[in-house]
Amino acid sequence: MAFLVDESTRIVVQGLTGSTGKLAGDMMRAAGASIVAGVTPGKGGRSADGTPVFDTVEEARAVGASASILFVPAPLLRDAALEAFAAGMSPVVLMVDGVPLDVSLELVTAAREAGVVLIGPNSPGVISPGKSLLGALRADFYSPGSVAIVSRSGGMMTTIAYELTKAGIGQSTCVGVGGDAVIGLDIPEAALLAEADPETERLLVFGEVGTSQEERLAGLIRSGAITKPVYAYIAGASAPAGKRYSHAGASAEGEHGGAVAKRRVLAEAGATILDRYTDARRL
Amino acid sequence: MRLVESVAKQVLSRHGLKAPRGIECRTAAEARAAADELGGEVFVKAQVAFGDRAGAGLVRRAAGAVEAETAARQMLGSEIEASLVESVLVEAAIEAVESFYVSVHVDDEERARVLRVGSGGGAGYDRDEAEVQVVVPRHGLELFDIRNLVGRLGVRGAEREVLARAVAAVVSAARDWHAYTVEVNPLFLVEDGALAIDAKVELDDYSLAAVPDPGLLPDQVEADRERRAREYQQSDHRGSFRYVQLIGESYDGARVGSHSVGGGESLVVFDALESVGLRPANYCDTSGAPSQEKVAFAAALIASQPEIDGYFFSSCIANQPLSVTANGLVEGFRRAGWRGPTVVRIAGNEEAEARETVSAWAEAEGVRARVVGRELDEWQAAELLRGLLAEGA
Repeated sequence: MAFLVDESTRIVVQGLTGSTGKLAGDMMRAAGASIVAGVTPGKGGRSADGTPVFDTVEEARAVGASASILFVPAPLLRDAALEAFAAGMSPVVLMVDGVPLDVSLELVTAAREAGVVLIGPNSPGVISPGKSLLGALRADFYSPGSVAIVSRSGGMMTTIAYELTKAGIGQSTCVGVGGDAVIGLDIPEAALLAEADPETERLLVFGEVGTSQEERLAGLIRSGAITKPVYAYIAGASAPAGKRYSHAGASAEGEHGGAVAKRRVLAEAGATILDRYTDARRL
Repeated sequence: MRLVESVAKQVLSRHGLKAPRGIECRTAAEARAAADELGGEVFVKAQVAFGDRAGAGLVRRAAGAVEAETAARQMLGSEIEASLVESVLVEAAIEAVESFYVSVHVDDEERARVLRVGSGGGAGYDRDEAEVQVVVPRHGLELFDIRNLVGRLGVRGAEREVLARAVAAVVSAARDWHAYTVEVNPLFLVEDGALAIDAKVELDDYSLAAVPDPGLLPDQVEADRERRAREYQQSDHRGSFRYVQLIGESYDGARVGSHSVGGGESLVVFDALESVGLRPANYCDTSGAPSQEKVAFAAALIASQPEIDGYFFSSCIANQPLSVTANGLVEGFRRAGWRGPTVVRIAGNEEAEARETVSAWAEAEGVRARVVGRELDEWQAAELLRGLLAEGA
């Protein structure tokens, strides 16, 4: 089972012929992912490391592609993402950092209207260890099991997975929702997917200052929509408020979105708060 | 980018919403002269981007020039939420006929901008109490839409029209300037129109090239090192590089130059430093496969802060080749002449080679340094730096 991606996910890489696309393609194949197509407008008919390349996502869909990840230059991002939505790819992963706010607002809205699960922008992707990877993550730090990780930080997701793996605790699916303020799939939505996944027994969340995602997760726990045990580490309790850090979503305004308040509402809802993320070893 | 009040008001003024007459001052003497020129009662307001200024005593009413000078003297050089007060706005005190709250915020749950308009407003106003709270549709709001909406506040006739036009200015400013936040609180209705008494604007850093009037964005909203980091990043796009100055010159506790790989990791490091009583002087993240030169530039920028007592570097388990990062790190230390207590925690790709590079630098330079890896977490590594600082004290 797992969620978002598994053995049956058939991937198109938009931008497979570029250097970043190639690198990520190699990481995905190493993680067992099935890449069925690449798309680079103007390069249709070629192949990249044995994978057929098409001009359009529609053509990739015709050979079975169901999910997409984009490695395209910034000026082409909007068009490429809308093309993926129009062709019904889901999920679609946007790894790119620094997407202008109004482009993000447009893409996130368009994905919702198309019924597509958009992961990102500024996401490292999603991995179901031993099954598939739609992203750029080192699969060897992950191991199959029953803990889902939902993280606002890509680097910390891998770091926590490493700690879990070292302690003999495997993961069902790990998704980096992205560090931006405006993202597609968010922590509450990912948590609901984890709740519905029979293979996932527990949920580990890496949260940080800014946005209302952790507060809304607490609401889902309180309402009974999330019943599986939730463990959370919220970074930035000591980060001065009123600043925007490198994750564009990491910005607290006084009490609004502060790490201390997030920890409190999650604890009150029944989640277990970790003082250090390394406490996950003892999960 | 968060704009200080005086600049936020200029942005709103471009959209037709005026502010009271005001003069920005960098010295107490200037504040005195400004109050004289404006005449009557004035407000003296510290120009720092956001924060609870009123609660911190950084917004004060002054009966005249002498009081204004005193207030300015007390504010200038003080610190709020890690920002230094470098200027004050001296502004004519205004009597309101009626007062309102108006804002447009990007809402992460709605994935859209949300307009709020409420009666009253002012310090401590809870925006969730606003009578009007609507998602701004993708195609925007027309003036007639806004006229209909503000009718919920019980305003009619001329007042309603003035309020509707002021709200329309806030909505269009948020859209045209690609803002996360445009907030006017309070908005005063006066005899002959509407005035923004206080204003907050936060722009999207990734849309700055697209704002209508970039010349309005002043240097003063960024610390010098923040500006140098941003300019460097514009010249070298490989990987991320974000620098935030946290402590102004007025801080006199123990402080640490902070340098991390990863946006999440950087916040984890803050928590770890705090746990051992150390305070970061800055935030800096170089991640996503930055060049050696970018890391060197960042390290020199951090290490050259005149009043840091130690340097703390830590990485999440990173994909990027950390030997490149390590070479950049020691190059930056050399450029800045940094030889103070240093803890470098390197985890991830090419970890062993990277550690060796930093250890060799420390040995050659005779620096008291501890170079560790993923076997220690950030809290344990922070403990090492505290130990080094204590030894030297």
